[in-house]
Amino acid sequence: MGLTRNTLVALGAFAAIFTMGQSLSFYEESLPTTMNPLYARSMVDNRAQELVMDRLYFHSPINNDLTSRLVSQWQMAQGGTAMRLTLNDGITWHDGEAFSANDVCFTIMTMLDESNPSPVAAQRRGDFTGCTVEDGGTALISFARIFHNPRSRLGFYILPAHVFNGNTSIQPDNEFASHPIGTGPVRGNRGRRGVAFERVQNGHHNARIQRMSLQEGSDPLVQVRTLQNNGVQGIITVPPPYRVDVSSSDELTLKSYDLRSWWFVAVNTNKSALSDTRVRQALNLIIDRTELRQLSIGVGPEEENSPCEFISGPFVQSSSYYNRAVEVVERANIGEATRLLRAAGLRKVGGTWHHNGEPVRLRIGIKASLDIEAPDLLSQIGNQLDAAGFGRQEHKISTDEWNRLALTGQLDDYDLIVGKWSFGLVEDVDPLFHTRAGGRGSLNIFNYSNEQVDGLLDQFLASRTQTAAQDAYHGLHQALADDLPYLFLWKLDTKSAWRTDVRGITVSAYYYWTEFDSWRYNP
Amino acid sequence: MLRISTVVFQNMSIAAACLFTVSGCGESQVDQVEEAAAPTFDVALLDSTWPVMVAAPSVLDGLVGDLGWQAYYGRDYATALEAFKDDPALSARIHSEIAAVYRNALGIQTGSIIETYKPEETREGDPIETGYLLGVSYMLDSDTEAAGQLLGQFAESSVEMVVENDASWLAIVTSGQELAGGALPNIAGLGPVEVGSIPSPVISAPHFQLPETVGDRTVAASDPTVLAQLAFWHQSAAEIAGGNGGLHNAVWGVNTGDVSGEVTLSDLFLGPWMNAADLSFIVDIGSEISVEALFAEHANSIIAVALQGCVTPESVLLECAQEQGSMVKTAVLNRMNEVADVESADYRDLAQLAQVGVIRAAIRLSDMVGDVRSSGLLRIGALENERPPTLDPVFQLAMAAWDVGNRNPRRASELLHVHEDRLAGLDSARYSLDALNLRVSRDAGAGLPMH
Repeated sequence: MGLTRNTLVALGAFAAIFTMGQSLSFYEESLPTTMNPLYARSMVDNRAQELVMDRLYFHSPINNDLTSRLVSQWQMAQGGTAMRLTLNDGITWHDGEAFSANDVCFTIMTMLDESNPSPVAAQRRGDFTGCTVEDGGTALISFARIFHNPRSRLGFYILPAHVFNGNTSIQPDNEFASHPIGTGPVRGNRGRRGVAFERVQNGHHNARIQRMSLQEGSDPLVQVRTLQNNGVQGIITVPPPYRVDVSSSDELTLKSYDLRSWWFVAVNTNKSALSDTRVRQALNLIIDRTELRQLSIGVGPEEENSPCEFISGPFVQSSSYYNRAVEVVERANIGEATRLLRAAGLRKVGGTWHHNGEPVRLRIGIKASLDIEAPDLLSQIGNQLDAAGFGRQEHKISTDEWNRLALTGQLDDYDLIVGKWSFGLVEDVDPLFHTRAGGRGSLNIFNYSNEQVDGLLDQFLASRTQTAAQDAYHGLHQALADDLPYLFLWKLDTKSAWRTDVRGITVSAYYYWTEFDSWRYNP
Repeated sequence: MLRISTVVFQNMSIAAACLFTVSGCGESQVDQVEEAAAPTFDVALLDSTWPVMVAAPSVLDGLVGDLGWQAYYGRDYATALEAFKDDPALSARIHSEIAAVYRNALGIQTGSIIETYKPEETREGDPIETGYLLGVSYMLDSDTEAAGQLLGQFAESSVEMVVENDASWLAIVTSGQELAGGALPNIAGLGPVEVGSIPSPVISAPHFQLPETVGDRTVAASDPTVLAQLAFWHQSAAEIAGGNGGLHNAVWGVNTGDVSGEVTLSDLFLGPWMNAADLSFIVDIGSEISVEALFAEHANSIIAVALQGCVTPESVLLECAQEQGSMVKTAVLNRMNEVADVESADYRDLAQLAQVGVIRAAIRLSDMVGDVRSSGLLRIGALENERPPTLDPVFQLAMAAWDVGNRNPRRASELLHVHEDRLAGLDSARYSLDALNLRVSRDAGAGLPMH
């Protein structure tokens, strides 16, 4: 392992010699699985799309103005149920076709087309009823009802109607996923080993970086060494143990990336032993989060202002939805865990817990890219469970497997899966915990189903006031902390690293590249 | 006339421990030499800065070993005040800074209330009493006209405390008296101002449960008066303590008294303003003065000298300001090394504060000339440069208040969360910020979790 790592570090230095001064390169957590915004599943997908496509409206990362690069004027119509948008002139798609109102309406009609198996479209489908092209530069969007601040509902990427010949049924395997045509500051092409971006001059964009390449990051030490050697110029996610190295160099700078991300261990509640709530509660007490955080994130037990903060439910602690009455479990309590396991009928034989006469062996997985961000987390969890008397098998789950199987509830041979969820402005956890039915629970990893939880999610959905919504989610937090379909771990701050000769960097919350036009690279 | 008194600085107590072990700054950082362009600041100007004045190990060791300064470095205000209780200058400075923390938290709260409940943002079910919160917020935001239209209308409220507080506020509005600590309704139950102490409000947040107008739920809410009282209380303590309480309050944007006292190292050490002239420069930014006159009158301020070429009557040149921040840091660091004839890992951290000062001054200048973009970008850059454990609550809460004014509760929530346990009563702001956060996120519609 040591030799391999050293070799990789050397290769990083070698790469530096040959890439320095050519184009700007950066390491991503993984390769994007799609560049089609309808089918974005990961933050990597989201970020790549932000470079290539334009959202109709977006919040300025500088002063939060809700603004648009595509729209010059807007006005409400039809008693507040419609909005007339006048588009900017002189905007073209990357293939030279003119951008028009037809593209705006095509995008809305695509989202309304139920033949598209797009979770992104499904989430927005309830907002609109249609869209009319009034002329080439004017579109009339019809809303399903009167919304407060309706422009904030228009934060979706605009698709090119001409590329799809006006056909609103777009499947995930469409060529567009690899070679999208956008109006964003750069054109992007996804290959097997990375994504190549090339600047496109446009009426509304004036990027100053000509070429850029996205590469898949591997060992974080290799990433940092390659950055130091100028083999790449940026790393999107720097694990906490490596941040000191970056911040102590005058050639590198750390940049905060505002993501509401929290980490969890999903528990397969359909497995025989794990279907008993007491067993899940016992696992929750066996996991020593303080030790895990120290070993995998490098944060000491009493460290103040830690980048890693424990959570007891599906929200970060600063969220309005976080229920502060539910305490976090910071330390293991093996005595209480043992009592719970015995109460659930498990017996310890020869130091190993048995259920129905069979030793309990837990198959644990982690999304592979997370193993980079929190090195050895999987092994440390495995070690703690092993020390408590559970056998374990550890597996890394590729991004492809995660998308195809984990998100669709088909990894039922696993007992535990370590993952992370990130949220934008909206913290909607319905897709994670609602019973998988009728389009809901679309990201429910182990097909968890609980009537009380479903009821609380329904309450949230139906809430007329924000207090009712907050109360529903506070109740949900408590219910999930009791029933434990997830063992909630922590929120972890995200930091990027860039070389200081990359200037004008503004990292926007969640989308990252919104202000890419101001970035410069002068090696 | 402001000037540094080295006598006071040399009389400071001396202890043994190294403060900067707290920062995690190790030997490896000693070798990191800045590579910015050669700085061109006058040596006399550099020698007037506090980092250079304390650079000699015989001096610095004593300061960084002092328990009061150690506490201040980690912004443990209670311990710092206790340690500095016999020093009027330091007591004044700490009280003034605590007042600024409370004032910025108040800015978060009143901003959140206004952005949540102003007429164009009202929603079905909003409690009637949010009009009271809005009235108090306008009042504390100096919009007495808007406040006057709202306060005094809640005598029939079912929430007893709202009825009482509303009546008290109406009396203040009607009297037209200037807002001050003693003039506010004493909701917090604070006792007489006492230098060296940090009082806690007698009531804890949330202060009210306000009934919604649909259904039978209530909204947990807090009265901004409490944070205002706490801010005023510490402003007064800073004044009473002696030293440069008035000047420090003025640096934080509040004119409470005399600003012409002698500036000593106690007023500057571990702060972002490098010399006495910097303090004067900062106080004058935003006053009734032209940009040209501002710089002409502060030729002895190293921050003014650094930024002079970066400011026009309409804008602040962003990269120029950033570059100058880096230059001042490098110049101060180099001069520290020369004066002390040694290199120390601590010097880098101290010189870093020079850069912080330049950037913060540039933010104020951007606001003065109305350059919104530079102001925002400089703020974001300054926040990036904040590192634990030296997270500055005054700046961070000011950033959060700025975010709230931009209807951006997301980062504000995170910033307040980091600091809300630092001083009693700060959590009061959270209930109002939560309301804004909920309003903004519910307006945004759909959002899918991403892995």
